[in-house]
Amino acid sequence: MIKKEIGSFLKYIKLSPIILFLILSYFLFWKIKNIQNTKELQSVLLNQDLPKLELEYVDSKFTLNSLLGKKPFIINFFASWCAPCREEHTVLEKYSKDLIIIGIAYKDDINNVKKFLSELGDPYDILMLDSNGRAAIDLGLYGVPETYFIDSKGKIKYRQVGPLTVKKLENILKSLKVN
Amino acid sequence: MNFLKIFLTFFICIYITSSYPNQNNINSEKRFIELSSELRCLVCQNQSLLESDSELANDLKEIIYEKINEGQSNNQIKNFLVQRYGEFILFKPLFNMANLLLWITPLISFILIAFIAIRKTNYKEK
Repeated sequence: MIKKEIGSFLKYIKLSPIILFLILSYFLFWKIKNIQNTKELQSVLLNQDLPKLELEYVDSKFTLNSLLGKKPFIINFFASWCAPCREEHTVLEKYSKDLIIIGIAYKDDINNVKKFLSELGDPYDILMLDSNGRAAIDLGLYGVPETYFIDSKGKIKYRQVGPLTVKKLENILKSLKVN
Repeated sequence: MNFLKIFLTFFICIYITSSYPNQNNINSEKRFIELSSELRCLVCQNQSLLESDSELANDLKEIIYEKINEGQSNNQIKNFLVQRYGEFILFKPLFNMANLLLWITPLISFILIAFIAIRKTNYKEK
C-alpha cells in the first residue's frame, strides 16, 4: 500500500521538471508582456516623501518648505548645456501659469542659467542650483531633463525621464488627477 | 654632530614611511574597486560603475569613495544607492522574498534532478 503511494508520488515527481518549465515559461511570458511598463523608468521614491535636498536658492517667489505638503508642484531638473531641455522649455513656459514649477539647474553655471532663462523665458516659481549634482542623486536622477511631480501631501507621484511634451504632460496630469 | 645624525635619521624615517602607500588607503582602494564593479552603470549598456566613464557613474563613484573613507560598510553604501536607484543598480539581486524564486529555483531543480537520477539508477540496478 505504502509502496503504491510512493510510486504514484514518484510519478508526480517525474513530472516536476515539466511543471517547473511551464511555471518559468509563464513567468517569462508575463515579464515580456509587461515590458511596455518598464520603458518608463519608475522611481523607487514613488509615493514617498520628497527627500531633503541641499540646494542653493537663486531666485524664488517663495521657499520650497512653504510649498511642501501644502500644494502640488513640479520639480524640473534642467541645464543650460542640455539640448533637450531647450525643447522642453517651451512646454514648461506654456504651463507656467497653471502649475507651480521649481527649476533646478543641474551642474551649471549661474550666469549661463540666467542667460538661458532670459533667452527662452523663465517658467520657474523657484529657481535653485545643484552645482555638484548631489541633490539630483538624492532623487535618483539619471540625467537632464528630468521632472518630478509632487502632490499636495509632499509625496513624489511621478517621475518623467527625458523631455516633457505637451501630450506627455497632459497625460501625466490627467493620470495624477484620477489617482 | 650626533644631534644632526639623529635628526637626519628621524627625517629620513618619516619621509620613507609617508612616501609608502598607507595600508588603509590600499584597503579603501580595493573596496572601492570591488564595490564599483558590483554596481551597474545606470545610463550605459551593461557596464559596471567601475568600467563606465559617464557623468552619473563618475558622481556615484565619488560618493562611494567618500563613504568608504567615512568608514561606512559595503552594505551601508549599497543600501544608500538602492534607496535612490532601486535594486536595478545591483548586478547581484538581493536575497529577499521578491527574489526568492530566482535564488531557489536552481537549487530545487538540482535536488529534483538528482533525486530522479538516483531513483532511476536504483531502479535499473534492481
